[in-house]
Amino acid sequence: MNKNYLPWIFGIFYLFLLAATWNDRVDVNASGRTILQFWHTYNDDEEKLLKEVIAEWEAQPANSNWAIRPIRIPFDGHKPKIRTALTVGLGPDFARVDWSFVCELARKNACVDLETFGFSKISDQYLSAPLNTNRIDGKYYGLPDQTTCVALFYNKTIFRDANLDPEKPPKTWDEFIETAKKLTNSEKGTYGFGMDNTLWWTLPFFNTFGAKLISDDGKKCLLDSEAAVKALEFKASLFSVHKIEAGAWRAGAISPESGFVNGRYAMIFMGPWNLPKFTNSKLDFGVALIPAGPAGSSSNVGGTNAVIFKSSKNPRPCYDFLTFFTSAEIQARWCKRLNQMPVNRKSYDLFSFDDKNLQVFMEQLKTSVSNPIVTSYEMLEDVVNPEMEAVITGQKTAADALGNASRKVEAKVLSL
Amino acid sequence: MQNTRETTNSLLFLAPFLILFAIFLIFPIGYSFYLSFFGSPRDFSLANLEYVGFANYSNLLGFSVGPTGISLNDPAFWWSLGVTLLYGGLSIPLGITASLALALLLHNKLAGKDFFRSAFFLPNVLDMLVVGVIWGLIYAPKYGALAQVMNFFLGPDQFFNTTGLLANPYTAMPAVVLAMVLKGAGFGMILFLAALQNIPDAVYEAADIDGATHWEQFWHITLPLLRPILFFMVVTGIIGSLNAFTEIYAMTAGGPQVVVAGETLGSTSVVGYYLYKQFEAGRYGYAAAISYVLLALTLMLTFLQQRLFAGKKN
Repeated sequence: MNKNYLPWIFGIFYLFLLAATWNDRVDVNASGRTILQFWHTYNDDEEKLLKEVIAEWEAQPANSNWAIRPIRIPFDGHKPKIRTALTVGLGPDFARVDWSFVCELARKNACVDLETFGFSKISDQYLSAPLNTNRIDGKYYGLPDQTTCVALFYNKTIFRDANLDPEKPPKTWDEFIETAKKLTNSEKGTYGFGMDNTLWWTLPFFNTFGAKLISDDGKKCLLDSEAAVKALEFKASLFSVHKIEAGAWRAGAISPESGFVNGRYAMIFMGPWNLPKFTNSKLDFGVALIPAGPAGSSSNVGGTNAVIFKSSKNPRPCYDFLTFFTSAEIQARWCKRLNQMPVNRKSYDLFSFDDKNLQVFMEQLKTSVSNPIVTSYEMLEDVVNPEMEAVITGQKTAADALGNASRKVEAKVLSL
Repeated sequence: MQNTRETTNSLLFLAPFLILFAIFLIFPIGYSFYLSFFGSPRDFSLANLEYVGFANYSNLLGFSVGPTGISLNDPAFWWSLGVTLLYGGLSIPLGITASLALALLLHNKLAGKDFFRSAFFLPNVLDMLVVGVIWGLIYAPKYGALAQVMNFFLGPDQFFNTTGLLANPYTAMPAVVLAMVLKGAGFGMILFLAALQNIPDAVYEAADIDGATHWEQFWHITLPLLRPILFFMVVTGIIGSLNAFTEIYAMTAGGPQVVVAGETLGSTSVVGYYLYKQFEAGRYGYAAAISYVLLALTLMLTFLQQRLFAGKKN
């Protein structure tokens, strides 16, 4: 008999629990502050510092109505996660996203034009290369919070073994080939260079040859220009003619990063994010500018930007926080503690870098050229990467491949 | 009255499954069909999709006849169908042969046969992605197991060490097939073993008395009695090939590239992988159209198979 009552008792208990914990103002925290959700992709150390910065901002009297709730999402897969959240209307107020995602968010009408808050008054405090990744169709839809680019890493031990001066890395592409030939010993399995073959990693080649990939109005693909063809021919020749590249771009091959750590590849392109890892591995390495081509030394731009979503009910405090977060003082503190490059120009006057390698990246960033800005950057890579592979494997000429890629980019990517 | 009550009760008990089934299977199946008539979204909501009628299907399957001959609207799709055909054409017969060979070898009184049966079945338990990654490492040039073994016999300057099976457009697909056949053979083996054990010894004894050789016994008794399993293996093999995705994603990502008539195409870009790339690029309607073309193909092939096997029986 008693058993029949059991479900009822449980039912009433759960209803009671529901009533006791029900809160229809989920956007307000216990102390009555309105919550602003910030999705980010920082690592442990960065997140710790982020929380400190948030606490400082919230402590200011002007911000007493707001509470920022940082939510970490994995960097790999942050785009689909945000896309899905926006589709079902459950996106955050603002987020930190990869530089290549801003264009898609802006063109799909998902994020706020920062001019609404008078961004032009402060925009010139940011470094131009990372700032320009936010400039979509003439307007700024995000602001940079972290910036990177790639430079040339070289293994000093292998340099010494080949009787080369470890303090004199190659400065031009001609010197690079000469040096790499001396460093290559295919019988021992060591190579002068190990490279990736995606578009982003190929941008330093295109940029040092002065090739522009997309026209300023975003309507024409310029991949078939003479400069671009020469750049790709040069890149392919490192593998196929000079035999100084290990084939690191192939499926299943040792990646440039692992090959460098294991002493297989004497030189690679790499970003500052691996400086701590390489230093900890007791590797004797140096960092140099990307060798100069006809257009001098140049690199690509990486990093992340912060955007504010149109779905946010309170975009203004989000913007206020982001300008505070990227202000000269906070950036200086952030970058000193985490050994990163500030996005705010004024931060550079506030502290000096002890890390010589990081100084090279600062120097490199000055000549970095803004990346191609398109609605679907993944699709751009999907179209261009196979064509570049066909050139390296000798199945197509660079002119053929890039002509083909250019037509496909215009039909599939620029039409979006 | 009793009947209605019983039906209601059964439905109530079935409800948890039925509700989940409806939400996560029936609804997406219907919704993706609906989506296949719409273009790519211009924003992130699925509410403002542009109705395009059969445009997705005609972009996918259509062709135009010009002065230079027939040109396909989406050559990459047809290529991926061809790659899938190659994948199925290699993996289904090889898979069946390997499963059957293992089953015949282990259908005896060999000492430790239980150990071998479990050992051969074990790769089936592992996830496809895990198996793919492991085989990727085995095939890898320079540090991979295969490269190391070949170095021992042939020295360092050979194909397995310099390029690797997965980096050459002509060897990548066979390499994937080999990995998948070895992964899947254990499952087929169990099915064949069960069927073999159901064949009465009396049939073989009668054949012995009639003077049939072992080969004749296999050809005229074993194989015909295994036909239902063969049919099952072929049908699931075809469906598996049309659905193939994980192994390609894990091992080759559709590459390496091969140039055919001026077009750069992925030598292992099977249709399931091609579909995924469309979906990833946000072309939901187009991806949905591909999945429905695949469904039609699967149904057609299964129907043909059924007719073919049924015909043989009569």
